[in-house]
Amino acid sequence: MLTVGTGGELRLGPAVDRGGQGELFAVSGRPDLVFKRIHDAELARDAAWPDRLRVMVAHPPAGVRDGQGHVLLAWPSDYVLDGDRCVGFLMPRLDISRTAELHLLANPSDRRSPAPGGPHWAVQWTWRELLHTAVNLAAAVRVVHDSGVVIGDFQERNVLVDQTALVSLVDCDSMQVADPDTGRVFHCTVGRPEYTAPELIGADVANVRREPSSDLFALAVHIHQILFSGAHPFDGLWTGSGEKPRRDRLAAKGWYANGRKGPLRPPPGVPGFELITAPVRDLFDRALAEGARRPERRPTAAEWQAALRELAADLRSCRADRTHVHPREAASCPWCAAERARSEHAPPEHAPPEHAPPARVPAPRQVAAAAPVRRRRRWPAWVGAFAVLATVGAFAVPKVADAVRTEPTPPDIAAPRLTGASTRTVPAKAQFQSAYPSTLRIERASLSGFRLTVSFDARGDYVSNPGFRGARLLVHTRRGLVDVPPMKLEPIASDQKHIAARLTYPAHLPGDYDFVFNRDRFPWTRIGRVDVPAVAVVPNANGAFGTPASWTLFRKTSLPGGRLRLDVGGYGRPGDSCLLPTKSEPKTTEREYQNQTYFTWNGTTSMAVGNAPFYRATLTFPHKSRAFRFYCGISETEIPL
Amino acid sequence: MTAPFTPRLKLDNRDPRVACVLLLDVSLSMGGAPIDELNRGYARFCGELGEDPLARKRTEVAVVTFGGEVRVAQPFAEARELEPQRFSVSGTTPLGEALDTAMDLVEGRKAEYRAAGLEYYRPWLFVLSDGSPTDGERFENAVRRLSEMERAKGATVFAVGIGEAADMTQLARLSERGPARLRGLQFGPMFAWLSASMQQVSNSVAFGPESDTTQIPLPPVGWGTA
Repeated sequence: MLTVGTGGELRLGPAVDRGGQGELFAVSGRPDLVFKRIHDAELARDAAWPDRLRVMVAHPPAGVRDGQGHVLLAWPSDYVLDGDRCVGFLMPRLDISRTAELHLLANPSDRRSPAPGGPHWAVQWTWRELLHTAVNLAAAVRVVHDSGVVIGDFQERNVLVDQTALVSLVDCDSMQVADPDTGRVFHCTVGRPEYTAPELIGADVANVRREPSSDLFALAVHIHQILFSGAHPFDGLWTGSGEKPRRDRLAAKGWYANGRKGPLRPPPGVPGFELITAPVRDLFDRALAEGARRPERRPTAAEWQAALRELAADLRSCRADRTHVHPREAASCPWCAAERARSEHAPPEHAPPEHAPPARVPAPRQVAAAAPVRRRRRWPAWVGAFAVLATVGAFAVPKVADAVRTEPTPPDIAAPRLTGASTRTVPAKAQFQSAYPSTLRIERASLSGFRLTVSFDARGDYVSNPGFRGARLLVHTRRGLVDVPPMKLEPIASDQKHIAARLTYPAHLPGDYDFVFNRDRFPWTRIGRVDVPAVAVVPNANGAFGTPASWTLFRKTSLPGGRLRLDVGGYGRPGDSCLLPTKSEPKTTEREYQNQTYFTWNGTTSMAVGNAPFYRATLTFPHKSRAFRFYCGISETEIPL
Repeated sequence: MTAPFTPRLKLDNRDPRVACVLLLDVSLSMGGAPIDELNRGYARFCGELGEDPLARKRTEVAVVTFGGEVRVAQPFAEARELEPQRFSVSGTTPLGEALDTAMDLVEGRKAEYRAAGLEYYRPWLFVLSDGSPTDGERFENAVRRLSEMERAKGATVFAVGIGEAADMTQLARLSERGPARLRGLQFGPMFAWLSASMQQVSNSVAFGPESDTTQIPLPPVGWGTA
């Protein structure tokens, strides 16, 4: 019979989760609690468990729950006995269906394409939400430190974040606590190398007493990853000689990627320190550079909390892309710059050796091509527990798709064609002839790949400069009118008598194209017709920001075995990800979707003609329906087959 | 020029990577029960790896099959994008060419990691064969190259022989680590061990005092004999 330390029987509910250290059970009659039953092997390994739990239960930190009842720390509230043997503990139950492990939020690929069961609510998160997460993380650490506890194993799986960016710390039973009565310290014996402070690398963690400053190293690393697209501060491009040293060696020297010292430079495609304000930069420097050899210099959780709160108070969205959030004082949008860098980043040339003799191995682009003496990877000790795998029970094997070995390479996508383009001179509408630029000259539109360039020139007297905002492109597609925003605007002239500019638009939609400089004053003018060789083109009417503006089905091939192959593409903003039908969440007109190919797209996938930011995938699946519906961002699109 | 869609290195995933190349023997002798069990095991491998929250985005898997011809059946893809496939048998055993192809894949991927500023763990080469290599001198050269790579700590190599006809002597030349012999057709447990190994790397939980020795996995228990 199970009893609790405070007295009384414990009745269990169903099992909730199972981890390396123990199993979680619901508690009958107490939906706010959960019971962690520590594995017997674990109890045998560490005889100090009962004493540790007794101390933790007797001395919880102030602020385990915040003022609104949110659980900040999953702290043991009572220990549990089986007879007279301590076998586990009770702690506050967190609603894990509404939370996600920190790494799923800090890693952009996880936010954009969450796994089934992952945080779908984070798809729309911007830097604003991430910054709030960082603030809340610092606040949680502050609560821990204020009570003299040291987290120790401060890793990305022990931090849970909910939809409102509130943070909870779990696995509290492995934290370092001290018995205030006897002074006995219960050490934290685990940790992850990437979050371990330099002074603890190589230390005998079972016996060394950790300082809060070691947590502060990990806190700085976590905040860096949250704010900088998941990048670890000691990852980056090595400009020194030889191979890039391992993270912990760089940490010991304090050579972080955005720091002033050392040959490590930030990785491509990630915003640099222009994304944050000077006070926050200073904190990183104290934590990671000064703090390398002087842990006492690392900023406290309270300092991080204050500085990040101040940063979060003065943000703005970029004009080009409202999902780009950055401090008001930033001169230009660091996210736009990062996206540009990412789409320009060309990986080193390397032909995949499909049916060819092996390609010669090229020299790596950015690093000195010295003969690699591979740096040592620290590998965990293998445990005989793997013998258990041989006796693992039945595993549900998913049905496998048929072999695809004999399919030939699909041919290139043909570029769109422009017809009917010519230079036009358009008079203003009658009532505006005298008060406004009275003539508008539209140069002959030109098409290069998927880019359509339109130049206009407006002259006349007028009272105020209307700017270029009124320049619009409208496409008459088979599904209706679509307003296409420009990719690029190059002003040529902008004064009281003369306004001229060159605009570049994506020409991914087939149809008649109309242009207007200012639709109040000028009529719409036909500038040409674009044909896109494709089976179907569907504008993304929902137009959720950040998703491709249209979807094109280039090719549809019936394959043997009742399968279909679709060559699908989407034109959109760089950096988007889309969720095509997944294995577990088919959103199709037919319910029986099996082994659907699952693709996520990133902004730098293969390019169509003319270097346009274009996404493309070839999907093969057993399918008989007449339409193909899928999820992209938060909008759903249907392509008729 | 557009190519069929191959998942490229995902730059918006900044997690450290571990690249794992599976070299699978699909020569004629694998026909029947062996290839069926292999296919089942591979499907299990993809499924399990895709479920671990860290391994699914940190493990990158490539598959090179060798049977008559050498084919990159799966170019490097993150475990969460792996689609199980059925391999079919044909031909003899060009293991040398397969090894060359696998080493090229590994070198190429490492270069991509470095150019992207990503951290990576030492890649794995996992070789499964039920016979003798049939490409003579090509195999000899490949073994030399592989030994160099292993010596320079460029990869961790694991070789497994399938069935009675497996040439353990030749497989023993692939790694300093002795080859294992698969017990019967226990591909399932073997692939489960491999995915658990990848999960271990991704989760790198335990760590201790820095040491100079390479961590060597214990001899595979349950599914093989060392």
